[in-house]
Amino acid sequence: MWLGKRVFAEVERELLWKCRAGDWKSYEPIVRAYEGRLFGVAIGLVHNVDDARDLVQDTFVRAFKSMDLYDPERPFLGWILCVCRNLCIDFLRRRRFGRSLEGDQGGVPFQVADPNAQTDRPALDEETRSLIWVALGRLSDEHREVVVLKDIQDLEYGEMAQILNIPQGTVASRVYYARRALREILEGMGVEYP
Amino acid sequence: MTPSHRPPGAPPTGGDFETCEGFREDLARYVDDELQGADLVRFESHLADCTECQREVAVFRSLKGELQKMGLKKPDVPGGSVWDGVNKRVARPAGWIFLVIGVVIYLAYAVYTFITSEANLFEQLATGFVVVGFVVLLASVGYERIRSYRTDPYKGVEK
Repeated sequence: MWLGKRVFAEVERELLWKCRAGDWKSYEPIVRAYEGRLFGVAIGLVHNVDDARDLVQDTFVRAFKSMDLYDPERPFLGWILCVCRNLCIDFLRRRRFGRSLEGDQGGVPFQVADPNAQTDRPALDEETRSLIWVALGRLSDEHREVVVLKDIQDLEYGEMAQILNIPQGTVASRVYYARRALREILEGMGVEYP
Repeated sequence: MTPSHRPPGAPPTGGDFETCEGFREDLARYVDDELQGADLVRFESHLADCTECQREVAVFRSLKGELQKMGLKKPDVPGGSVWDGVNKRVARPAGWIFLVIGVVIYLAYAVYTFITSEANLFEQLATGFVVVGFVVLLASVGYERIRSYRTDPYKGVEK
């Protein structure tokens, strides 16, 4: 497992160096490796499948064009997530005057392949998924992004601090208040916690 | 990961650390298994006597578990990979550059051949006027299209 990860990291680094040199064919395995992760972030933030898909595509195009700003010796995931997050936030700001996320909330609008389905984590039932989905949409953008990055994407605080460009202490504080806000929203929807 | 917001062992800041307010950041880190050393010892000591924080830890762990079960960590992208779209947008500019360079070289060669050809003056003048007229018309239409696109107030509206 460890060897596999190391080989993957070296191959990835080599591909990214080629991408920096303008070889767009080397970009395909990178796109395929990270698109699911980015889509998870984008759908969590913008709550709309088509918009999320467009934003993931925009992210990869923007990243390729800005590849000279990326240091291939540093983790690519953090950098590309930062690009994706910034595009999503810009998108949400533009959309703010058009319609709210409430308009997109009618249940989880797609079926996701649950990567944990074969582990000790059983999938949620549809009603719970829908409740959480709606509650996520009612969070502020600032709170939603930390919930998506921490509780869904399972990033460490250090990675989140880099992506959000804030100190780790602020990340921890924001995570706390985001969870509290989410709990209050869910309780307001009739969900009871002990 | 070691917290960098304050030195290990230093008391929490931003609130009274004898009450729950001073432990907000630590509570979040504790739920995420990112609290270590003296911070962990201090928080667990507080937690042992604080039913409110015990409740929040339990609720936040439950919430986190439910969010992770949403299956959004690495879902399949609906409609298949975005690679085709990315490939088009990344490769297209390079294609345009090559196309423009090729056309410019071809036109330069055509002009050179035309000027140095043995055609008489009338043939050269007639052909020259046709070509210049065509180019002027094309440029005029292109200019109009660009200007109307830039001033179109509805260009951002989705169809």
